[in-house]
Amino acid sequence: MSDAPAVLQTVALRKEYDLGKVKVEAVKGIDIDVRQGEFVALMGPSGCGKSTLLYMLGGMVAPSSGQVFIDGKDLTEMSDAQRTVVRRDKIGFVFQRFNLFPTLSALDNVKLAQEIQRWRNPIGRGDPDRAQRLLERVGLARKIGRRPYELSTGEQQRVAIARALVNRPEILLADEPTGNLDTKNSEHVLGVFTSLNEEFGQTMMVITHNPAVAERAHRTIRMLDGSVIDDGTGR
Amino acid sequence: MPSLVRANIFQRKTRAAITILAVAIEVTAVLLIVGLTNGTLDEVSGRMQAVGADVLVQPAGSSPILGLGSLTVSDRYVDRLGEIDGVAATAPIYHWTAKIGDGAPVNIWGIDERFEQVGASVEILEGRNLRLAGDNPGGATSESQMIVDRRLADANGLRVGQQIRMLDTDWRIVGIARAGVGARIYVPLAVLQELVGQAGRVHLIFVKAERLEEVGELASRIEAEVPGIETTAIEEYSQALVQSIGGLNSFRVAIAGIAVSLSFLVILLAMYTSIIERTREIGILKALGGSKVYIVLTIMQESMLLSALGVIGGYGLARLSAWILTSSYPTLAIELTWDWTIYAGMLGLVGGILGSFYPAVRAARQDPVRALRDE
Repeated sequence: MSDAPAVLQTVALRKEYDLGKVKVEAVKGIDIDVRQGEFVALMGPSGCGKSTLLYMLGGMVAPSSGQVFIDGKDLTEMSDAQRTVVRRDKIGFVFQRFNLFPTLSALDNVKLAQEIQRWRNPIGRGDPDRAQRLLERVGLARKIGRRPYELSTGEQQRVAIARALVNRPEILLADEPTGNLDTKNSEHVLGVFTSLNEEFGQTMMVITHNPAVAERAHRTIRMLDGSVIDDGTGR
Repeated sequence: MPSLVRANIFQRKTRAAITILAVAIEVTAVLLIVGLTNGTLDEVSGRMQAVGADVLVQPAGSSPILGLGSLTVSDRYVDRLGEIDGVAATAPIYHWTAKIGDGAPVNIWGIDERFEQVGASVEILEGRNLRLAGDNPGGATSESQMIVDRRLADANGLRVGQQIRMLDTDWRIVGIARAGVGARIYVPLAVLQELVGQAGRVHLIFVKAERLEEVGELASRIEAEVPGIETTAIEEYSQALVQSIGGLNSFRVAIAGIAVSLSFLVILLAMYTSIIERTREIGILKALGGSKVYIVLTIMQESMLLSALGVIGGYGLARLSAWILTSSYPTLAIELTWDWTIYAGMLGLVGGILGSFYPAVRAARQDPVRALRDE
């Protein structure tokens, strides 16, 4: 793994929120790199800047200073439209609260991500059957037509994982994906993550409070008060 | 079309139905108001042309809209006009307006035997024709007979032999004529003139030209030779009618403007509330890589689909309303033309596009992370 190229890298990454009279430094000059195929757990107490870091890595939050490189390209130098393309083609997001569209079936939720990618990019990486195959892969073959409210929380999160992966992103970013799940469903979702990483070499960075996730990850980055206190490399 | 657009419409059925209905009402209002205006104008000018005369002569300063003016000329002008070179026949008309039953006021023409000489053919469907001065000298006044057209008879349940009260006189319906020629009611000229105290006065005189190709010249010649009158070639009557109604086009533009504003506001409100309701969903779209343009177009597609359904509904509703109105009031003329059908549809769509633009842009500008954090 250590020989693999870095697909995700930050240099002196900083984020400061201006709350009127008070300025809060959520992320304080972080340098990390994540190699291709690596499964990284990101841990730390609530409010330590994990989510801000994750959203900056995904191009959804602009850093105050520093750089984010994805495949060697600096996200901070890109326009909003260019970052959107990177997010669409290279990154998959999984959220703690699933964020599925309640009006769409499980299959349509997954296909929506394909629809977005194919829009204005008809060649794309379209594969009409991939959405269904992924739902089968995460154990939802018989529930593809169900709406989110007809699925358990664990099943909803598996739909969200299938959606995040449908466009074959190089990097999967997950914000506490087991945070809303009971032990059994957490174990199921964790199994999906592990097998995806082992079988397909999917690069993943997962925010978690769950030690079981950290146990299965290749390494764990620990944060405190906006800084990395342990990047898991032993350095 | 994105699956999300379809799903949103089906999921939010009440909002979609209200939006569609509002656009449909807008399209219906435009089509009916313009249709009623055009239909009335066409019907009036059509009935005038169906008389068969070539030139309409009126006192100078009269409106082509019969009934708007009270100017009359002496019926001696009828003979005077008949002496002009190129005139084949003349027919005087005294015009009156009265309400029959509960309907709108209708045009009544007092005619004499010369009416048929200018080419007018009142086709009697039931009963008989008027017995005019030439047929029954001195008998007209005592009889107070009238002919009503089929449309008016059907609208008011009038029958041959029935008596109706008008101008403090009992009139007997002696015949029912085919609708579409001249007035809705014909009565003997002398009777009408006497009852309204206008003996020897007429509102208009129809002129039949000897040579059809000289109608324009004849109209000019009449005006030159007979002072105090003005002429309108019957084939130009429709145009003269439109010109006489000052601001008709402005009225149509105003109706169109109100319609677009209504559609704009309804769609704006519907889409704006929808966007606020779906803040989180828009955040998800952004997280999935949906560009600003994609989000704007997705929202606008939804409003365009709603507007298009509203336009189609409006076409149906307009036709249904026109049928109900003309069935209930057979004397109403509503003309739903293709050009205004297209304009009304475009107005509905334009209103929808304009109304959804601001909410769509606002949605596209949302901060995705903040949107995802919102409940």
